[in-house]
Amino acid sequence: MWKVKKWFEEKTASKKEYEQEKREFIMAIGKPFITLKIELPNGFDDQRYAFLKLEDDCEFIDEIKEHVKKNLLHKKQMNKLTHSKKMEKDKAKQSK
Amino acid sequence: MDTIVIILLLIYVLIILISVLGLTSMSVAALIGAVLTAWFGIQYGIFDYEGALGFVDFQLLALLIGTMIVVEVAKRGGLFNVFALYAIKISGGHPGRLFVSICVVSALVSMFLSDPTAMLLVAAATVTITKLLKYDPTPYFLSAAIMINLGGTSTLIGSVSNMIIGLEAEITFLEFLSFLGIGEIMLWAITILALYVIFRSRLGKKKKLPEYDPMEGVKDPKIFSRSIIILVLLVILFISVDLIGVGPEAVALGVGILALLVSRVDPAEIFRELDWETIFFIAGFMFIVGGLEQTQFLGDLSTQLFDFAAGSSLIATQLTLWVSGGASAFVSNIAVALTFTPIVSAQTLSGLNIDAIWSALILGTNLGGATTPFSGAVMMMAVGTLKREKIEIHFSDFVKVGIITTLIQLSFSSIYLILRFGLM
Repeated sequence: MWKVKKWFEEKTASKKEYEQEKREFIMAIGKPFITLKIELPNGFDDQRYAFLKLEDDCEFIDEIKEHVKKNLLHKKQMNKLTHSKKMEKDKAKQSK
Repeated sequence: MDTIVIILLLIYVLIILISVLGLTSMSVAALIGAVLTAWFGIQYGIFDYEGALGFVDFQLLALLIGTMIVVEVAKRGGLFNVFALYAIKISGGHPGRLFVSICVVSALVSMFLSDPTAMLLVAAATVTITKLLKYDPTPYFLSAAIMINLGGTSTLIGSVSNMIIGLEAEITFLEFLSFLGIGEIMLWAITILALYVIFRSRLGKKKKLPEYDPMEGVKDPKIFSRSIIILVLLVILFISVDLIGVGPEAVALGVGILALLVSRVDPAEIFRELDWETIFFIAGFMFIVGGLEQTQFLGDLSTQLFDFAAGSSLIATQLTLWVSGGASAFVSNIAVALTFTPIVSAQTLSGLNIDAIWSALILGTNLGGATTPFSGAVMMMAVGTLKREKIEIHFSDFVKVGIITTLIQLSFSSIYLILRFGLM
């Protein structure tokens, strides 16, 4: 039976192609996500193992999620600020 | 039987077995068969080297490559992803409507895309939405696979076997629609109904669909809009080939070149994505069948097969439909189409209703392809993807659904052909 299973798995289109197609649908219908590539920082070669384990470290992932929230909030506020400054400028121009 | 006929028949059977068992890729198996056929054919004086070169139908290869280029460009624009996203959106999260939408969109995209490419796209869409709504993906998935196989039957360019038969029979795009159009629409409806009845209890309960814009499926807005125009142009030109005075292969290649030109995608990237496995399989298998044709074996087989019909177009049509349908349940439908085309072609002047027999061959070769998980690439991919997603599926379930729907489709086709061509 394992031979049949293996045969079917081999007959399937490449995993990469399928995952790529699935990603596009998840991005459109489901919650969008980003994948970051972070290299081991210089001078931390002795902590290679600890660095690799960060990928599955829930605490670390939560910290990153918090950072994303803070960053997005900051960007939102900055946008508001720029928008209101622009409005003020426009008003000043009109009153002149 | 002559020694050379036995040798070439052995090569034919060997290549079919190697392909079915997956001992090597289909294309390599067919190319090995081509070399052996050419070698033995020339040694036994059945044909010479120049004669052997004539076995490859360059019209068919041009039609195939041209269509593949156009479709690949459309795929890069995201056209088919948008189709799938709209289909999911209009269901509103209602399981019955989602089921019908997935079935229809599966058949629709496979009218243009090759079956494996259509399966890849529909599989990704189906897995995503069923996981999101926590539905059992198996009913949606298996139905999509069966509808992809059926969708390919619906147009002259829908499947490779249609192209093979259409070119040999010199059936135009409009003739194809006239012979089979209404039957295809009814086949879609009957198959969806049958699948719905089988899976009704497993579809799940209504859930809220997340808000999204289907146009997010557009990968490149420029290519997207241009690919719509190109696809429409391809269909219009296919319809009017008689007026233009060129063959469908010239239209396909011409529009393919235009697609490369206006999409501005690197042609090397497009060429890399073409289905070369199928192209080389066809080229190799044409050699094997061409060699057998030269020995008069296929002509004799045709005479013997159609002798059963005793001059009755009704029996000849039913025989063609069920024999080709049965054969393509076990063997690649491309191989079945390439083998049966010269057999049917030999009956052109027999006084039988040849249009009805060609139509039966088109339906038989296509519909048999979804009978078992081993029948064709699309079914293998469906099982493989379910396994990859760690979704439990019983082999017997798959075979049961495949056999039931194929029998329904072939039975309906029998009746349709009798009525459409007035065979009673």
